[in-house]
Amino acid sequence: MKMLFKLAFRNVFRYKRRTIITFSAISYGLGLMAIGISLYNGVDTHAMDNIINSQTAHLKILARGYFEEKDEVPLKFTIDEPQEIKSLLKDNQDIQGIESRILFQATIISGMDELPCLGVAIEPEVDPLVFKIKDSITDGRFLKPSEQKIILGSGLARDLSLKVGDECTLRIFFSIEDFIWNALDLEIAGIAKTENPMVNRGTVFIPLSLAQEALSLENRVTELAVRIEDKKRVLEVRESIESRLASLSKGYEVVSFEEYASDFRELMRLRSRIQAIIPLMMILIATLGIVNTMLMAVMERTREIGMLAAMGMRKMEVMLVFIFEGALIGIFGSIAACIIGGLGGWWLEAKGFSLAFLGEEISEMVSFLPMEVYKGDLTAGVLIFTLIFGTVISILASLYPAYKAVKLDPIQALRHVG
Amino acid sequence: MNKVALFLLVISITLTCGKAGEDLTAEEILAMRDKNMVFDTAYSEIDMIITIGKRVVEKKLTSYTEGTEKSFIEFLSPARDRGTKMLKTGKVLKIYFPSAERVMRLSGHMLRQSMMGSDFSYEDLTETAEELRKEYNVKLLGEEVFAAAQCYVLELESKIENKTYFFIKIWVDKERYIGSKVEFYAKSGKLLKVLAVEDIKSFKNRYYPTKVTMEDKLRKNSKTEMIIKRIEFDILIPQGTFTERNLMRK
Repeated sequence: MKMLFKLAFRNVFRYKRRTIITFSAISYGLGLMAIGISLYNGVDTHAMDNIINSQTAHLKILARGYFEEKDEVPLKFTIDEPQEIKSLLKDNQDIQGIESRILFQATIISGMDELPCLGVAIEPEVDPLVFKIKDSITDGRFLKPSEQKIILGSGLARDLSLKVGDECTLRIFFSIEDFIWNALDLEIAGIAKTENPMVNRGTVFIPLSLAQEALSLENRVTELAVRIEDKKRVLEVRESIESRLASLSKGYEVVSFEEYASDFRELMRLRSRIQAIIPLMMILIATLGIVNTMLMAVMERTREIGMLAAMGMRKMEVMLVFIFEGALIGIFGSIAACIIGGLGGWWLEAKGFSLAFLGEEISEMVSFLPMEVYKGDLTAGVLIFTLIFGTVISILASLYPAYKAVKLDPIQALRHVG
Repeated sequence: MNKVALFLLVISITLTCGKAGEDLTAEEILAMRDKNMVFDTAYSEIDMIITIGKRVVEKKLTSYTEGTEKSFIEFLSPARDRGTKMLKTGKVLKIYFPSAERVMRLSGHMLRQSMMGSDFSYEDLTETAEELRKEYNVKLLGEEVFAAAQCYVLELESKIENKTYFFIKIWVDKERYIGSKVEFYAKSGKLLKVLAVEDIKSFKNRYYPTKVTMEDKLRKNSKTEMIIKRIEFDILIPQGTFTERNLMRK
């Protein structure tokens, strides 16, 4: 047995060129596969994070009835006692921040142009605890409480060619059905480019007190956005908030980001069903590469196999030599693949790549996902999978050609011209 | 009739007359203005000039009106709008587009949108002073000279919370009782539209504005002029004018 292993080991180094080809096929194929899978996973996790950071927070407290009609952005379901709720939840250790907000339908007018947008009234002093809008300001600055200014999504600013300091008019709808509205003249304080293109394309942020006045919703809000310490505890925190709110007379509901972004979840589910094929394809391509090079390597050595058989080596032993060879190359190839995949995945996770090189318009059209930059999500699992998978595939791939080789008649194998 | 009764009658007549002459309440001023604008029937030929930035579009139309409830408008030019007809009966507006050969019914919120690309909304054209009095609290702010005429300045404030034109300011010509200027404000205090009467002509029994300009302040450099080329009051309107069949008539 030891002899067989030694023979396999020597063979690997004897045929340098062939070893290099097989080795690089394995490491390259599997390395790319690891990168591909981590990018694929990254879209899932980062897209959700982007939605949480710019739209849904972890939990939203809503007046009963709001959630069902949330797509209409109604103003009739309001929270009339936001301060009381906030103080009720003050001692909850899991909660990082609670922000009162109003969402409303609006259009933004600049000169002759008018574009529809979603108005989001925020508490500028609390918002950074809950969302990451403040970090995404590319021009100008964040809002101050109750000033007559707004933050504009970068896409809207571009479409209307508005800059920081420009004036624009916000048409705020009390009701879209009845076409009843109010209008405000506002200055642009800053431009936000979040990692969520949906927000950049159609959102205007204004100070809460301003919106309450303009919408005649004094002291009332449409939602309380809650950020918690640990995303995984979202359901437990929701339960504890719900039990606290039960004491209030008006009915409230607490909705998690997963429910709130259910449309997006649905999209992701469909996507994962269709696109589960993508990692599978990557695996298939890597496998084919390995099988092909191994097959070639064995076929090349038909005469050698004949020689070994003629000298009295048993069939089982010949097969073992080839399996050992496959395993050796497989292990080293997979280790190299892990290094390539690890480096690539790490780069993707740290930097990510943007579709911006396609031009801003095209990239926005392409990106139906709430992501500005595509980032990877590299896990140890992916690398371990790559390592084991590479080795196993290499062994399996060498089985068939080895089996074929030993089935040959030694005389014929010797005569084989290869 | 005894002397006391006669005396009381004289007193009451002088009192009411005095009131009508001098100290009109805001509601009364509005009602007086309304009287000028309301007639049994009228036929008019109108030029509508829409200016948006550097683009100027001129539209010609004719209109039949009966009271405040019914009117029928037909566009004569430009070619694109030729044959477009509107029929207003009560709160319902029906429009016939010849290119589509279809009658469209506008009601509710659609009436608040721009009429044929002008600065007027359909509602601006159809709202009567009677409705204004019902929906707004009227206050007399004082008097002011506007366009070389002494005017009452009225301020109207919406009775309900959510209304697009929350405040309306009307300058009513003191002599002729014409609303020579109207400003429409949003609840935030933002000026939304300005209507100015630029020419007033005297007719048999009334004054009537013959050139009116509306500016939608949300649109930049935009205004619409309505020039009444010809107007005849109290005419006989052909039967069947205010019918849907008339809309479809070629």
